[in-house]
Amino acid sequence: MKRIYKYLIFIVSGALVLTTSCSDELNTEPKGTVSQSQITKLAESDPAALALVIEPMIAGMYGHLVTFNSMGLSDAQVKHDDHGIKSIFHIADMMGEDVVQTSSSYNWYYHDYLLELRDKDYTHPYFVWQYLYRSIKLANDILAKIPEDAEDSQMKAFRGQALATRAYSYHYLVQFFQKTYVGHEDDPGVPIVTEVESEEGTPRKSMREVYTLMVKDLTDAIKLLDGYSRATKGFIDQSVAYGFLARVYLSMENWEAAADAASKARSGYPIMTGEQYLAGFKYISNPEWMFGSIVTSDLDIVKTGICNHNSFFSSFSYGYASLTGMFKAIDRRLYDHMSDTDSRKLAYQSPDGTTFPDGGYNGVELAAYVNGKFGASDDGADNTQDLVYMRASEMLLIEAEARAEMNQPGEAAALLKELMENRDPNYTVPTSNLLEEIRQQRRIELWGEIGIALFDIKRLKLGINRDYPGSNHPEDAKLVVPAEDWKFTYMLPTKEIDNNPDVGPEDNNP
Amino acid sequence: MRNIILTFLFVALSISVANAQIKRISGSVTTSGTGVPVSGVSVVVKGTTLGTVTNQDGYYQLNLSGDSPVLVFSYIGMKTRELPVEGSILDVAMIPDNVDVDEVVVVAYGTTVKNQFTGSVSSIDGARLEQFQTANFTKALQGLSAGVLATSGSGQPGEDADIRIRGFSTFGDASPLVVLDGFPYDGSLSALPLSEIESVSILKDASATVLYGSRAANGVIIITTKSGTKGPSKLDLKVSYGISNRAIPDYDKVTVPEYYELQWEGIRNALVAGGTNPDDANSMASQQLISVLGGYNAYNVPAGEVVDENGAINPDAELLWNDSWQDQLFVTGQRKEVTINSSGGTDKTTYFLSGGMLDEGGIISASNLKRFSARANIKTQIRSWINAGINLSGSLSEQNYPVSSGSSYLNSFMFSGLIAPIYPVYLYNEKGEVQTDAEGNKLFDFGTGFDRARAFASNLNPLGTITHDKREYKKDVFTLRSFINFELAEGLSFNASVGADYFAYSGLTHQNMKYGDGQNFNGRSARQTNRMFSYTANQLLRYVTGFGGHSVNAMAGHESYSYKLNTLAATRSGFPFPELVELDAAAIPEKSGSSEDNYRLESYLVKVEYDYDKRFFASFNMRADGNSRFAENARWGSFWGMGLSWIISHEEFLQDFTALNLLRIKASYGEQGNDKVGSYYGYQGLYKTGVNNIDFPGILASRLPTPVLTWESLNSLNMGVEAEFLNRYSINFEYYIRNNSDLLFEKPLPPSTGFTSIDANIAELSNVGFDLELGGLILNAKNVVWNLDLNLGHFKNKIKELPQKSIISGNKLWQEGASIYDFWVEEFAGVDSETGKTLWRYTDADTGEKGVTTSYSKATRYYAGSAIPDLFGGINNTIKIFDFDLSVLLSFGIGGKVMDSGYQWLMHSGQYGYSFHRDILDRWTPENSQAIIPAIDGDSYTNRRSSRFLTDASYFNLKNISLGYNFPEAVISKLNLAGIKLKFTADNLALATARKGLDPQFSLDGSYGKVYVPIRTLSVGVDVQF
Repeated sequence: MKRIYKYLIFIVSGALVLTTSCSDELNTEPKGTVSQSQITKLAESDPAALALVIEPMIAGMYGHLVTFNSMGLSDAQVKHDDHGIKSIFHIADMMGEDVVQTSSSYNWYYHDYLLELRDKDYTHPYFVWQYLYRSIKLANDILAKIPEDAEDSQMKAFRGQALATRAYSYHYLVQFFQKTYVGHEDDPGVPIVTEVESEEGTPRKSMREVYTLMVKDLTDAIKLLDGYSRATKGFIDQSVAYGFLARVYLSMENWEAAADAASKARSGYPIMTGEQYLAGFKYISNPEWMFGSIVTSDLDIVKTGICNHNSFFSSFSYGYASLTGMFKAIDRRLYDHMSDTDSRKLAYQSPDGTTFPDGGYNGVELAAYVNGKFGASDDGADNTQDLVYMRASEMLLIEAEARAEMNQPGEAAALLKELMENRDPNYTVPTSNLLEEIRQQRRIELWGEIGIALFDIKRLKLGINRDYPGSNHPEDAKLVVPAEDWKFTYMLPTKEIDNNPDVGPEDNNP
Repeated sequence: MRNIILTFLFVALSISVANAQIKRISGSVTTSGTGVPVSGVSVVVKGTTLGTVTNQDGYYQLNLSGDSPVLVFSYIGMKTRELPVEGSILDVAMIPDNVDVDEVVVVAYGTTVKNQFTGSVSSIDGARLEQFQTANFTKALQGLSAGVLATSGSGQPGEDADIRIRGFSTFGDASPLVVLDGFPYDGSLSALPLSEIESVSILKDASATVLYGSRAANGVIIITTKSGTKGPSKLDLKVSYGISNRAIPDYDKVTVPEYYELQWEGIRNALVAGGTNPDDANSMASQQLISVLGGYNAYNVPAGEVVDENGAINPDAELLWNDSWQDQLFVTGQRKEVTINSSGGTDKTTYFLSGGMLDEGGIISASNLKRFSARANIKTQIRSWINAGINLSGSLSEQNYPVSSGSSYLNSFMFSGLIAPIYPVYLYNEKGEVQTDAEGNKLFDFGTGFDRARAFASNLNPLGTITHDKREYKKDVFTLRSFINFELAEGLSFNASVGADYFAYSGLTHQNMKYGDGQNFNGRSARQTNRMFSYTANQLLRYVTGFGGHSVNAMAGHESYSYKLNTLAATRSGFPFPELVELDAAAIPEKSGSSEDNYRLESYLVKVEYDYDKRFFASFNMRADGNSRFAENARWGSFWGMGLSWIISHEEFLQDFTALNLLRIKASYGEQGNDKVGSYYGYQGLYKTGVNNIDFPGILASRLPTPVLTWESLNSLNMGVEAEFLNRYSINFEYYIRNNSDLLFEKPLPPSTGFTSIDANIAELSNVGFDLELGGLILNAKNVVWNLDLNLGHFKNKIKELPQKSIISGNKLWQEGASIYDFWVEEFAGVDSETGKTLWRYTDADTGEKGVTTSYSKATRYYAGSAIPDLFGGINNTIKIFDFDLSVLLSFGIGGKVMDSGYQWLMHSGQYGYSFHRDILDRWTPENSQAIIPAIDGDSYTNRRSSRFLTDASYFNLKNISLGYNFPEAVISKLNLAGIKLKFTADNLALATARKGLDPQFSLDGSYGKVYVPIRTLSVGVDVQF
């Protein structure tokens, strides 16, 4: 009897080993994140599934615009000025002379303001570089999944958006890492990465090559996006692609093409009224916004409370500006340039403090020239304001500038008038210095939005002078820097130099 | 009718008991020579089955009948003694059986006799652990075992300490694998009451740990819970009560008048530096002083007159308030613990039952841990050839854990540590009258009110916030350990076991709507729940045989492991009114999410132990793991270890050296792995989800695929010599070389590829060191026995290979030849005696020229010592005086450096609203130009990171004192009890460090900041055995 039991036990134990072991079980898949093998499997399962895979990749590409901590630093090291594409615009705006930062407290962006952060070992050149190349990588990943000759309209729209994203990313890169295009066509630009599986790196390509790629990508994108109707202004459609192209041509001083692209870009968008201008730049429903991010409370940049554009720029939101006094003010010359009937003047505290007598967030006192342009969100101070990346007035001003350059003062003046009718009822277009006036209005109109404070002085080969009589810049920021100074141009980050076999220290900017 | 029968039976029983010739005998069993009580000694009346075993204090008692009985005392490793009973007390000294000196210790997949084990293990007795008043056994480990480095950890009740065994074996998570009753444990460490732990074994070398395969490279800690032993049932009730306070005091800081004067000096010097002429600067500083501090004038004189033009406090000024944040924020914690357990057994079945309740209060209000726990461990012999057992436990705990680390001002330690003394806790008006609410409660000062704006952490008051916020973590852990064992033939057995852990976590974080960060959102609550379930099933075949002098003990088997973690988290904000904390009450959904992770192992095991004549021992262990963390083609690997040991003292030629009780040498070598590399999907390319474009769900490439990624490997060699002599002294020395290769590292990529790094197995580390244990019976008088044990550890950690020439990791520089914890900081070179400015050293990168500079940005970083101590360990005293047991544990670290950032923050140069350390009183001034502390002049670079704040990390911690009083037998027998013991314990009683306020045991990497300091607990308890 006992013996029989014992045989039974062998059988049972054998069964136990078999039932509890199964090597297939060792293939585990994440459930909260997605693995590449899951995507590949799905995409290969049937052609219709390809769209299922790419759609979230497209959404992720736009999610990158508002991503917090793109550098992936630990909680202890995380940078509060790493909050998406707006961080990049912010840095650029600080490096010009249009934006005044009233206090150095907490230091964020202040050293950009002092033009001290261009060195290869500093965080900001690395941040800008990796952020934009990540954006390029996301676009390339999408492009690699869709055949170039795809006929499907949805696939074409996906390709178009990815190409446009890649192009604008390169455009920002070259605006940070080289002087302007004109006169530097054969100087080294940035490495061109268009392939997905690249772990090696490629050399810096000339500015001409980089601009050629941008123009081609955008031209292709415009074709691919023809007929595409987007769900929200949080996606790139043909008008936005035209807008990017207009910016690229403006940099290239290809006036005719710039005017043409800008005009097509803003077709269908009105110019907002002065009243809308003063509504706080908070919602994408503003009729002239062309492209932006719709911000919801689940985004990390909102949940951090203080790591977002409005924390730094808005005097009425909870954030760095209102809590630590590092307000953003407008350069006094730009303020004085606005006539008293210009509604935009009411976006800034007047020297006598009458614009915002009740102060900003929680009644904090607002000093002269501090902006009220960026208002609090309607839900209170939670910084869920939408973010603007492109709007019709910019396109109008590009066209106006291009027309003026093309010696078409009549057309240029008419365009300027179209804008200013909505800003200042008493405005008359000056008869002389029209070009200069258009550029001044561009700085005023787009103050604090998209980084043109730096991009324009580089493009126009101007220097900065913050040390003028009556300057409202803080003492330590009263810098005078000549045109085309290397201070306006970042060095390539050390991490690129060290790890890219094709870019050595000798290839870096001086 | 039934009642009548029962009554009759009862009466009959009583009569029979009364009629019996009962004689009670009791006594203590100790080890001859050392006087250490021996628990578990079997005491049997010769010729009967009547008997008992000694308790943990070596005490036994028996009721005897019959004439001239003889008691037989037997215990493994001791010579059996037979003694006739005369009188009612019989104390026995057991003589160690030197042929078979054997302390049984738990090791991987079984037990072994310690002196025969070829690997390295140290064992800590549960009774020793139980002398600590902590909810988490990891907090007791520092100083108890050679080569084990444990941090002091957070003082928050229930938190873990970090443990490293024999150095730092990886750049990633180097914490050891924890095994509970034979199976890797995935529950919370604080779920295990110390009173349930029988022993903790620490496996230190590869041959000992290799049976845990790809999870064991960082060492293994095996916890064995208590079980019953054959004998009469015992009931043991323990009750204790304790109080806790800060074990680490705050730094010495300046007083209110000193603060105003120093701050005045800072403003004045900054003005002078900015070009103001000194006389004007003096009066301007006096005028500005109160306003730069946010309008806080703690004196009854006008703001401009608090400090005169020479920087001295107005002699007529009287304080309007002088609140102490320390006194208000910190409370005396109370600790209450009750445990009751019962154990016993028959020939066939043994049991251990335990239940416990712990309520441990922290030292900040709203910080505590409450825990209920229970365990049942039952083993039974079903047939002569079938054994089975089941060990079930459950532990429910609730922890309130306010913010107490990090740089948030809500962290009470940060806030109270840094705030200038001029700022009050409560709200006072200009006249110094404290403000109250309608019910007469004092209002808190939030840094606003009466036109003030506190320069430090405005709109915050941790006292106000702590009481309204909620940070509550519930942890429910259930464990199962079960086995069935069949004796198939002589020496051959088959064992099937299942171990399972269930860990449910529920956390609530609520930021209140009234004050602080939650104010802007009308309150915000986040809830997180996790469900973890893991199980291991194994089937093992064991074979034991012997022939001649040879004996072999072999095992082979299969094991599978599965781990599943589900998480669910959600956040909402916008509460209608205060005191509501649950999400249902809030209006705005902010975030919600869930995830699932799976992790599995499939393994095969082989274990062979051989000995010849109890003189030569050899072992070979092997495990093959298939691991779901790695790609299919890189998934399987085998790990092995072998060891040899020779008991020289058993040889003929040493038999004449009777003074030598034991002499043995051993060596082992093995290769094993660490699979804790990155995520559970270590090889896959991953996309992060939730990167959405509003309603359009987005994914974002977050990780590049690494199909060849594999576990980190460890080669480890251990050599040891062990001796015992004169029946009094012992020494155990082990030397080890551990090489860790294939360490996971982020290999940097050019960022232009879109990724900045890719994971790869590239780096190498080594840890070479020794462990030394010395034991001695210092005093062995009639009523005083004193044992002293000393353990020491030392190791050198060295980086042997990196993917880059050097990597800066915070304030460390990693490069080949250095250790992972070598500080790399700016070097402080004193103070410029002319200007009072800080001097730092620099070396010009191009010319190599060296010098000193006052510009921080020019300063060069140099190596400045290591955070790793030169020597660390503990001194453990066990003293028995009459009926008192005293044990004293001193743990220590010698050498090494710590970056004292708590001190650093207090040595600023006039940062508004921040307190100063008293050392600042000896700062540079024109009159004190030789000072080594820079002037206060508002220069924010003054207290930047530098070697100035690196402090000697040596420490001596009087970690535990435990005094027990055993009631004399006469009293106990009168009370009809088996024993009563009164206990007084003190944990973290005194700490000696280089600076008051510093805790060098806090971290492994030499960092120390504003953290929940360890708590000192004094407690009294009583232990009654029925």
